[in-house]
Amino acid sequence: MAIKGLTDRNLAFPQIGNIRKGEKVTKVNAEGKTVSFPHDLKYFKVEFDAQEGDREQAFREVYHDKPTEINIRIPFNQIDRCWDPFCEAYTAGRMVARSDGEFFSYLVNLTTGAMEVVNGVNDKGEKVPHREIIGKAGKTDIKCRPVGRLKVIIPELRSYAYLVVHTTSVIDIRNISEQLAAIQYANDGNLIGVPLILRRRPKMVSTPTADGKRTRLEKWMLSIEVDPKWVAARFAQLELMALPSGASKPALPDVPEDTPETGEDWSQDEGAPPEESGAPIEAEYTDRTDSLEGEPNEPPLADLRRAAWPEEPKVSLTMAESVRTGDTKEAYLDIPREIIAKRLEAIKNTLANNHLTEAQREANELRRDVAQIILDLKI
Amino acid sequence: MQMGIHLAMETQRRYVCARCWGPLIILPGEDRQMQVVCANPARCDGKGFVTRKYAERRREESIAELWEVRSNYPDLVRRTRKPTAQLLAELGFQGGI
Repeated sequence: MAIKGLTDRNLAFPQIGNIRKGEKVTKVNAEGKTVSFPHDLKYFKVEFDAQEGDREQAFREVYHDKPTEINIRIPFNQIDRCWDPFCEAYTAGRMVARSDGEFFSYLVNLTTGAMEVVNGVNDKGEKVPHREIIGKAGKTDIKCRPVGRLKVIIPELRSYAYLVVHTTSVIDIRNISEQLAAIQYANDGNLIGVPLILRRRPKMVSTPTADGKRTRLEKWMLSIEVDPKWVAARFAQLELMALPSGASKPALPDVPEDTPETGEDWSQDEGAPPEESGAPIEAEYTDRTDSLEGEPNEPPLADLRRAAWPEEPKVSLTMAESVRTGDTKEAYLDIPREIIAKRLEAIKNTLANNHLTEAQREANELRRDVAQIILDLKI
Repeated sequence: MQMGIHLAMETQRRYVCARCWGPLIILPGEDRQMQVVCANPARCDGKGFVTRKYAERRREESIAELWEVRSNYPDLVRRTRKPTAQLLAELGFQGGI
């Protein structure tokens, strides 16, 4: 039986049908009255809107009339936008109550017709606890029963439209909630694009009997399962991610052999600056800043230093602070600025000497860097 | 649903059909009461009303949902181009314009 008017709502992303687990069966009872009651099926009953003949035909070509498995996709990444499990009560075709099992989000007074709860609170701003029996319609109790609605896209229809899977089973609602949450968790919080299969699986379920006892009956429950091919690919990806990387880590830079360490005695090296004796150190000193004279805009101090000292220092601040003199083991940081300046000049004069070996030159360059850094600190 | 004329007019103004969200019309009923029904009974068997504002809000939300689903599943709809000759033939042109 087709649904009339469902797709006349002019929605951009419309609902085009319903997927149900059972059907209504009419029967004449012993009193001669025609009554209808729900009958559970072992397959899905899929109904399309009356105007969706093409899509229904495309569906029947793939799944026929009594499908037990349907390929589905979840339209949105947020579970609560696709899955609506609530407890609802209806009377005369109108919903009179909706709750999440704990509090009512919507409740109508059956006697007066007034809305007692709207948007989760009553007129006093308080939450109203859930109760199963809402009221009476004649002699019949109006009960709040669990209802689950799942929006799904069927990829074989090749259209941006969805169907709604309906269930009123508490077990189905719990299973679908847990399965969707587990799939989302296993896929790093993502539900989009995961190929799912909606199945009906037989399970022995404890159900109440007419005499108040309970018995186990076979029921065909809903189950949302991930396509096994996707699962295999996902496990392969997880195994790859779990492997140690090792070779991809970058190697540390090489450390020069004669890098001075804390406490090293520089006085034993050739070309080391003379011991501090208080006498003025006579040395040639070239003022490298004379090339910058006459500049219209005087460059900042850092640029001046860079011009006089073109190479980047190879010594870090931390290392320079830890360097000590070879004789007195005094930290350079503790030596007065004037003395460091004099030593720096002496080192530069030494470096100006072209007769130094490569090792001597590197050692003096290192001392020059250290002295310069300490000098800059003491400005 | 039968009601007085004023309530019927107010209902027609503020509500739409609960099934197809289409307009409502007022039909005369019994005992000077009016019936408010869906304006398209041939295509819709809806009973009941929803507010017009709700229907309009849902339509706007649906547009946003469509954009989101399109970005989530860009390859869901296969768009195939028909050949030019086929298009012309369908439009009634034979052997070119």
